[in-house]
Amino acid sequence: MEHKEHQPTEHHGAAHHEGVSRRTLLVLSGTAIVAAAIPSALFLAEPETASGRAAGFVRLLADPESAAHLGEVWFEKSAPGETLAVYEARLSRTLESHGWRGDMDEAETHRVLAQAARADYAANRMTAIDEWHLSETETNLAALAALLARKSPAHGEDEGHG
Amino acid sequence: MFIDGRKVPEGTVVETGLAIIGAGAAGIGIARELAGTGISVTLIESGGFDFDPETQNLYEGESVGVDYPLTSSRLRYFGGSTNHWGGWCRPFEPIDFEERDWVAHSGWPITRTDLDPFYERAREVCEIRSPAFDDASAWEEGGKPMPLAGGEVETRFFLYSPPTRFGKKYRPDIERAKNISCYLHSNVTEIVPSENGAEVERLDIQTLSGVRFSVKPKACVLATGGIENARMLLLSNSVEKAGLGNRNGIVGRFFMEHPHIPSPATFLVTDRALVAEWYRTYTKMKTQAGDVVIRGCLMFTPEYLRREKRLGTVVTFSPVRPVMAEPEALPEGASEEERAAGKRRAAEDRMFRGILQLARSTNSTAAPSGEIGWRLGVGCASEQEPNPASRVTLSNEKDVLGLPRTKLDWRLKKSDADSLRGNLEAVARAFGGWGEGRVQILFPGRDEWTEAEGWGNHHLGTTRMAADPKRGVVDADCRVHGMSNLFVAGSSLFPTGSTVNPTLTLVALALRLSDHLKRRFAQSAAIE
Repeated sequence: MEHKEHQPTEHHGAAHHEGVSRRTLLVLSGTAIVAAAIPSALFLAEPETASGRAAGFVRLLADPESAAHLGEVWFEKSAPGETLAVYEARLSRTLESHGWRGDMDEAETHRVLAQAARADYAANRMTAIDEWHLSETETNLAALAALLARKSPAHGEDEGHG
Repeated sequence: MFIDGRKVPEGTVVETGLAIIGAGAAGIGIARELAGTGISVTLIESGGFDFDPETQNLYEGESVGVDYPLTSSRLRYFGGSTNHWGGWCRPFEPIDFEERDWVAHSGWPITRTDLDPFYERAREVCEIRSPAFDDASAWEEGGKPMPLAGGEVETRFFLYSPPTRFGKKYRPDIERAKNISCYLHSNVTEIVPSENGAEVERLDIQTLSGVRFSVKPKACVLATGGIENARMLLLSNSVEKAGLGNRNGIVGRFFMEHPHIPSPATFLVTDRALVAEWYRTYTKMKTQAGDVVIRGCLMFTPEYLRREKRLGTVVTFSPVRPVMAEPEALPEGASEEERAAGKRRAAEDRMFRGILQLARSTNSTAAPSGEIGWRLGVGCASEQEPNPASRVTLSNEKDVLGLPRTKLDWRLKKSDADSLRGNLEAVARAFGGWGEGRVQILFPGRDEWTEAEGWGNHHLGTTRMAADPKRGVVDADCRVHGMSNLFVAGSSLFPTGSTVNPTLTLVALALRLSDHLKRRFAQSAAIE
């Protein structure tokens, strides 16, 4: 018996992160924009763009550079979509489903993040990055780190591409 | 008393109560149990007290399936394969004895409870000074089990035998016992039954020097190992053309091993202190009864195995090296080779840092510098499903005694690999849910499994035990179906192979058979 109650993971070959449809993309982007418009202590300083929350999420990482490397390895080996807003929306939704609100401080957000990652493992929502089995929440975070790193001045790129 | 078979007068007929063919863990175990009883015992061993290449060569044969070392995986002299035994001991799990609807041909005619008292006695025979195979509190001084999440994977313990070399350790017992005669350098060439095939009449014996003699027993135990037991029954075909106990064509079928995977995964943990000392192999612990050598391992809960319909796996691991937050610089003047190795390690470390820092981000505290975690090396051994096509038969090639050699066709199934892969994914869930570890699975999924990465030198299942003669070669008393006085001992009895090493269980079964034989001889003496 497999864990059928959950979406298949990338690792199992059904790459649900891949091939996001235009309609889904629009819905997800819309969700992200709406979410970004909610006032929040953590994210207020960020511009109200799709990437506003992403930067806040990535600040939760102990080492954003090494997480960005994981994200790039995942992009290279598994070729999922590479649209920042999609990962931002996914992560927002996941955290919100565990009680996260935009006005939570970093410690509270950390706690929710840990809870979300644990719930992923418990429900077999894992993604393989170079066969490292990580929770989908962690993978989305690594993807965000990679896409934001691309936008940094040092990287010289302006926008991710789907 | 020991007797060199090469010096026995040609044509001698030895009359005895019980003949035991093979002086390994099972054969010596049974003989010791009968020492000092009124039963005359004849123990027959192919080799002498030491390794002899000519005798060992009798083990040569053909491997036509998954390639397997027929000769180096066993030893043919007094003490048998305990002479190279690693000493790993652990009882089989209760679920191993059950009929599992997701494991074809599973189910023993006895339960773990039936075997429990004999496990206790087997532990003494194998010189293990503690019964704490599952009690982590007994080993607290060495640390605590990892608090893995999900209830699918848990820590259990192997306890090591010194290892007991049965030939050396118990030779004095055999020597002293007035009711035991052990014939060395004596190869049984056929178990000859009565005309109706219903009982053993005599054992034909030949030495490599050409001497022939025979033993006429009232009862006989075949204890020559998991491959040779089947070969011996198949060779005994002068009356029963398909071999003894083989009216249903089962002898030799269901050969199983424990596929060993040297590096099925990599584990990372955020802190070396989370890995108890006894997760390393051969960890010495002090107890009131004396030193005990143990190893913690990961196994799977019966609830998980039932729910996911998996076979068992044992996962072992130990710390390899720390992972640092900062990339390591190559030493000045490094050679080209060192630079290449350094580059590979740097790439590996970059991934490790990413994984560990991600784990720290979602769980424990960040570590901007210094040691951020440890890499653990991993190994595993897995159960394979009983498969009638995986079998021992007789080769067309012959040994120096003129007997057909063994032909082994070991088969592994895709489902065996799928189960192992699924179990490793459960370990990944357990580590991730715990939070302080992450798992990279290196064992690939596969469409077929035609080459083994490794094995345990465990030969299982070729004379399987079953209540129904159509499903097995021997009954619950280890008696060959359809024969009144032929018994089998050893790991060839196992209908399913479990996932742990077989010696403790085969010794327990041998002790159980000893009790049965004592009762049987007592009853027949009473009748006489």
